[in-house]
Amino acid sequence: MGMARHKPIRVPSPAFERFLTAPRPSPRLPVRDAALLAIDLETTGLKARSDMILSIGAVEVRRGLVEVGTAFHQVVRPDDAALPAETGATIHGLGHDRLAEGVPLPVALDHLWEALAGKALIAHGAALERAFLDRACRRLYGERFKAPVVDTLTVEQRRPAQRRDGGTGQGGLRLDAVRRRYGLPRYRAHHALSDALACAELFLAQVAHAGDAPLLKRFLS
Amino acid sequence: MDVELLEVHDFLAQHRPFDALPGERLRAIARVLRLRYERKGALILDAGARNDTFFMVRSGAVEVREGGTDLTSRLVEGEYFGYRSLLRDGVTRNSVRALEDTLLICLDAAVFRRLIDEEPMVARYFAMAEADRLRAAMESFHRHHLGHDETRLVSARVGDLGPRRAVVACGGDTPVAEVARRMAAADVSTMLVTDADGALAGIFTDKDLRRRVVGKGLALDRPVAEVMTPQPVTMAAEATALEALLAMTKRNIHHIPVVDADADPVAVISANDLLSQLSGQALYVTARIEKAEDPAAVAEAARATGASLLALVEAGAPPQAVGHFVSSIGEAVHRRLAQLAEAELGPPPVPYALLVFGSLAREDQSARSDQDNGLLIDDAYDVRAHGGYFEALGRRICDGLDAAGYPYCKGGIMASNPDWRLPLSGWQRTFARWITEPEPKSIMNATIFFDHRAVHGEVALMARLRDHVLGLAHGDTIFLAHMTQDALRASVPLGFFRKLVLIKDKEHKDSLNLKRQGIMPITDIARVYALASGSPTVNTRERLAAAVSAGLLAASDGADLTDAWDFVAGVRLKHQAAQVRAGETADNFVSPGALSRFERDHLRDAFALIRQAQNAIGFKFARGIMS
Repeated sequence: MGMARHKPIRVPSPAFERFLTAPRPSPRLPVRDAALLAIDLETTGLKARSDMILSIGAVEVRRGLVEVGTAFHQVVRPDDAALPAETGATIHGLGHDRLAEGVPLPVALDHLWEALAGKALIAHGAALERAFLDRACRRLYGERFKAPVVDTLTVEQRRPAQRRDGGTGQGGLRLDAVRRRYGLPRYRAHHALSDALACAELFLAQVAHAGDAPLLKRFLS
Repeated sequence: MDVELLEVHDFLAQHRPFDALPGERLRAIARVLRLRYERKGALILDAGARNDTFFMVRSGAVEVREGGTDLTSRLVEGEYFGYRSLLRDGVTRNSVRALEDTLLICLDAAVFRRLIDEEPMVARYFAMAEADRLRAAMESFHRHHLGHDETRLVSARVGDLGPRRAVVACGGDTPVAEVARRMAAADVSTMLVTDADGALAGIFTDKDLRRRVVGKGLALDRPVAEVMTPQPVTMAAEATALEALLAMTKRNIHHIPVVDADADPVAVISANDLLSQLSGQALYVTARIEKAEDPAAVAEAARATGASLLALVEAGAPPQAVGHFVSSIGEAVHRRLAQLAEAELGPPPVPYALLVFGSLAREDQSARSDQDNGLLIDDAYDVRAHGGYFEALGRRICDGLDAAGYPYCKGGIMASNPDWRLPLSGWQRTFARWITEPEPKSIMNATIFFDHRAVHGEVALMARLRDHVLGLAHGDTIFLAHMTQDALRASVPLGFFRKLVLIKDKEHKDSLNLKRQGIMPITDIARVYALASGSPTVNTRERLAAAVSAGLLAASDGADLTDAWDFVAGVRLKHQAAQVRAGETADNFVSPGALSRFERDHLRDAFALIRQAQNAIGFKFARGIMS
């Protein structure tokens, strides 16, 4: 995909400016008082340099609760060159029409910056989200992506293995496997929004299992 | 906002009362939902505190404790709490605790109240749920006040029962005359006979004195050891009164010595001690049946079966014990009718055994059920010479059973039918045909006839038949696969209460058949395991235990299935006891509305366990032929 060759294109983004200047939540805040945003990106692959963001899902966590009404899902419209032909071809199950209905990446990201301002980001396997967002920030705004990040996968890895799998030997760090161990329901659908919600619920579970009133810093990567 | 994309939206849409809301209203609710996670053991609501949230269990389970009592109910996925305080003054009366790691859907009080105001259907739903809960609370109140634990037969220890009488004992070489004198002096009806170490060697009663000594003209200077009952049944002081009553009822005995850890006798409990604990008792009924002079008197005595069942259920006896009692009455009726027929027709020309099938064979009979029986006759049987005798015998037994409340079997599985009046070799050939030609009809017969037990006559014949049948069936994987497939045919009402899958039947429309949908599926599963393990037992609980011992079934799965059986059987017994109390004929059909929330919750759990167990045997034994 030709995207890797693009030169930085400075796009003015008031939303990104507000995100950059909003005060970040203090790591010493009790995690139940902190505002967080669980996100999931669907991408064409794992390489931030050459792969594209296809969709963004996100939902807020406030005062220890997932606020379902804040959920949003943005399908990203790829550059015309990357759009599949009108008939037949798809990217990750999204056909031409569905992708064409999407919004350009800068617009989708503006939604994200609005929602993420003043919050910590939560993702499962957050390295991927961080890399793609950093790549997009450099390319679009000539800035680095900086935000406090909670990686629910890392949080899980830090737990003693015995606690992690209950001695069953059925470890596994994939989102579904980890959720099962916390008694969370199984989701059939997998899209950016359902995975973001799944990740938010997992975070609540990890907090509940971390003892009384843990601080945010305990969860930050 | 994109809430329709979320499964939590679909979850609401699938549960009452939200399932009936217009789409836009449902989306509006989804947009203001919050999700909360509580770790197992966490207190979610405390009695007396303010509450401003409507809660719905998304996954996991919580326990609601009624304020000021020790009554609890368990709520699972799709059920609600917290709403009563919102409908009232906002102060909770109950405390709610997470029983498992639990995900909760939360709605603000204001949203919930607006919903109630604007959607009359939702208002009605919660008003009804309220009434439902009240009834459950009333029922458990009733349950808890039916008897103090110490007077309940289930938990009373034989060591603590009745007036303690001194133990009167003597050595085995004591002359009978001397024994009789000592019994009269101590005013007891039972003498315990001990060996040189003081351990119990036998028992000698008033009745033995009359029958074995005076009645037979035996010299009174003979040692008591010659006329005592050696190695009598004993009970440990920790055994429950219920176990003692069960042992007496099964063996038709009236005294049981209580022994300590060294087998030294410490007390004797009598049937009267137990009967004073429980009136309307199975033992009394069986004793009357055994004394009946004609079939009409048997039928008259058997009429008390319902009252016995009622008394046992009210005494808190567990379902398997009630099953044993009711079965022991059924067994006594069969045995006595056979004895009376023999008295009339003369002694049998060749040995035979009276076989029973189905629930009576498994010893899990509840209220009345149809008769299922047959005759197993010695191979010396000659149909020309002996056919007439056994035909008359079979007819008398079956007619007597019908009159005594065990209606004729609609499928003709009765000793009055020549097809089921066969010599041992005939039965063996019949079973062999079912096993080697597993057609649907054969498999159906196999499921019925595999559960058999001899209740009268030459019991050794049955042991020979069973050995033969198990030898043929054990290790026959094709037959086992067919039996397994048959066991999977029963539809377990998994979506019970929410999406009712009820028995379609004109007479019992919209009701749950606890026997067909709950008891029989477990019975079928246990039979498959018995075949797979080659176990000769027929009782469902014992079959499951045997499967665990054989390593075919995980101990936890065996315990789960046993619990499921107990629970379904318990609900059925309670239903039948209520029918008996109301003077109705007991049946297996329960309307869901008649169940308490507690019962519904646990029935749902039981059905889920049964379904899992069905899947497990399907996987283990029927993989080759499953479509």
